[in-house]
Amino acid sequence: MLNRTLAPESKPLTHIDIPQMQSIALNNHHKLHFFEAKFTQVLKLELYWQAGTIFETTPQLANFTAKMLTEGTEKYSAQEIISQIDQYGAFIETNGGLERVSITIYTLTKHFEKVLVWVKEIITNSNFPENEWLNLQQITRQNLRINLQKNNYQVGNHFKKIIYGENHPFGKYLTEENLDFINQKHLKDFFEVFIQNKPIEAILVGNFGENGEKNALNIIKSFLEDLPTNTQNIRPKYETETPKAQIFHVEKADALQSSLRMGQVLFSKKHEDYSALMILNEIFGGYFGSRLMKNIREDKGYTYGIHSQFVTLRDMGYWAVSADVKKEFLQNTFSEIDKEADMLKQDLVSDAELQTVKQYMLGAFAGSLNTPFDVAETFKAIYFLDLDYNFYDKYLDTIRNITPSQVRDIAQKYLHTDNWVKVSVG
Amino acid sequence: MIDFQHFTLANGLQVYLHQDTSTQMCAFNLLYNVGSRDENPEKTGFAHLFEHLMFGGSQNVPDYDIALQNAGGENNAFTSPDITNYYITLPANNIETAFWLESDRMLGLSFDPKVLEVQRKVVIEEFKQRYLNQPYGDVWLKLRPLAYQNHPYRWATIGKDISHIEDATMEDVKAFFYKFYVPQNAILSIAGNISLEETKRLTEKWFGDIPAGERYIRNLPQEPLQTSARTHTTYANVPSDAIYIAFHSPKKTDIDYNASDLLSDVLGRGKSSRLYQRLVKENPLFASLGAYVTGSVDNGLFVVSGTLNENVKMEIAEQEIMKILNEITKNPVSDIELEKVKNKTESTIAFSEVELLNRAMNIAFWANVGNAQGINEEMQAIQKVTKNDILEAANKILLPHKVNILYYKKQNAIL
Repeated sequence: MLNRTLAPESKPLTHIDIPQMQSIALNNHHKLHFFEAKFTQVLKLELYWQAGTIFETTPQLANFTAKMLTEGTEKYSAQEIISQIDQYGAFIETNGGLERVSITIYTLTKHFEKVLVWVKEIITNSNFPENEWLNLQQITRQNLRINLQKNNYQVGNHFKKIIYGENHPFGKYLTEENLDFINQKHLKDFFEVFIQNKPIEAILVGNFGENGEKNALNIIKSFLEDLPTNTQNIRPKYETETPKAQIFHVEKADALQSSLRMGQVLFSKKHEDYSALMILNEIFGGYFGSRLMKNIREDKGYTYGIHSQFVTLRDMGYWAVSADVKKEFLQNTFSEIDKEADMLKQDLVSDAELQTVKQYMLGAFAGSLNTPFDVAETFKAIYFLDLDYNFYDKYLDTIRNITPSQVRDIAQKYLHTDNWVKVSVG
Repeated sequence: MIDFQHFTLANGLQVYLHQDTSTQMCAFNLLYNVGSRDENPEKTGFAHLFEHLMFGGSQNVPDYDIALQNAGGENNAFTSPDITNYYITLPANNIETAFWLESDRMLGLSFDPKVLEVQRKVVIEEFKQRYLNQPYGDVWLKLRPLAYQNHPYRWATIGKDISHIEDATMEDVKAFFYKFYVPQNAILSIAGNISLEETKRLTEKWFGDIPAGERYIRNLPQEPLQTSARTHTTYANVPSDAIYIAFHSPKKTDIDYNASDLLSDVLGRGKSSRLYQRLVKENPLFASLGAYVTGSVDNGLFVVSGTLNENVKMEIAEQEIMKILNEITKNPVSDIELEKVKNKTESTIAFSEVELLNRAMNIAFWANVGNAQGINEEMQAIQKVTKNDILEAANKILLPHKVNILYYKKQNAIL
């Protein structure tokens, strides 16, 4: 008779194979990183320029410059460009991040070379037509108005401003005023100064196709070698002041729920406590079985979901809890979060709970290496922070070996929710 | 090409295996052939509420999540009008844990009253977070009952009304479970690093002794042919007006489905589509505009939706869309357009098959509509669609006298 009360033996993941990207530095300052996965028929290409938010003088200028890259060149209209890329069934995304502007192409391997012609056209000849900018401005204005009605969008803006400070580019957010302020010249200047002819980090994953001239790796190499480069942009330096604990609430009488975000500025991935903090974060609010989920959702039913997240940037990081809760339980939720933090500082986590978290984190990590796209993500998460693959060995070692008292030590060192910024809207 | 093998247990459970030895993971997907369309019209939202209860402990396993996390697994689930789907990814050497957990849930739940009380609250918060507290969040709560008068697609998966969730009883929960959560009504699909022999052994071991249950014969009220246009106007606190235009369109397994899908792509998929080029770019009446088909198991909807730019009149916006829809019923699409939408579909399918879990899910989906090989035949069928097929689809679907239009207007327009 089958005994269903006994769990099948679960074997720990003693070895996780991390597929590694290969890198080549080209002689003209561009760099190429690649990983081949023969089982697919597709390719994903990402091009990165060191030209993100940190370089901008007006909120979202980097992002709008990126968005406008597909909107016209000297020779071709936005319609011609997007029609050509769509014709091959390819997808293009452009994005302005905190540190970098990027273009991402998703394409069938067989159409790679043809799609690349259009990528070259936009990164060398974009000319930011005024009518297209007015159109994008109008669409953005309307989307902004929609977003501003969402509590969690507003809460994100206020949180950002307090965490980074008003003078830091990361602390600024989009308003209709600064959207109206940006004109075609700002975009063009940003492109010419920070993107055009600047060093590219190219990341190519997927099936590279047949050998020889038509191999995707050879195609991308000659593509990059043909692009002129001058010197890298110099990243401006900003001091982030540590925000003082404060409570900020925007009341909305007719809201059914309140969005909350609370958090604190901490360190980057390079810090020695990073991995231990990630484990503590997981226990606190990182996964479905976390203390916060168990308490606020599964026990009390105040929310559909509550999460804590430790976000790391180039030089710093922040730890934050976020949730949308039933409006009348906002204050209870804040105090329950404090209570959970206190417990982690006072009491040892049980061996069983820690074991569960360890197994879960190892399994989730192994599961995040499944596709060639995952391999690229795993690489970017270290490479752009000047870390190497040893980082993951240390991370996995820490997960495997951390003890309940080390978890409590980390909580006592960092989990001071009484000093956290608390923002809520609703 | 997604290779798979198939067998059926004596109790009726269908099993599919797609073996992939290049990974150290497995995806375990268990589909139950029950969705919100199978609900009692007075007790809607139940299939989805039930999905939440499935995580509240089963006969022999008090905590599903902890047990799975101990095996390094992750899981989630979703409910649609057609199906309820549960999925796990975990290291292949711990796959037996997935068999243990899912077979125990199929055998019986804990039916703990506290679980029902809490998940009722969680689902009500989900209802608010996703449908009520978001601009335009309630569109489908309004569009479905306009487009469907009789078929149970007329209510959304979350339910018609919060009160239905508030009123759910433990008797309802039990009756639902014993009716639908039986081997005969489920499809197990596994993708990853596991052999057929091992899959057979584990399926027999864990699912083999679950009673087959009674076969569920679906007999849903069908939607009568629409005979006249229907419109509905709703006001909400949103920053701009929006329009949602819905026509009845073929179900996913219909011979005409692919033509309807490509038709929607030509009209409204992406920035080079007709609607976007004409009405967002050339004559910017809209801030966003697109078209798509719902691809449901019973007859679906062909939807054109967009948000209007400021100071654009609703009538003008509607007229301009209708003009473009009318054109496509008169003249065939161009060769270039046809090639484009086929290429888009080909690359979308190729990208979706990169992920292990998607492969497991897609096999289960196709098996559930009666043809697992559909996963490999779909692209060929799409390649065969001609310009004439699309023209015919347009003439069957885009009928002005059979349209359903939801005018979603900003509140201050009536003040």
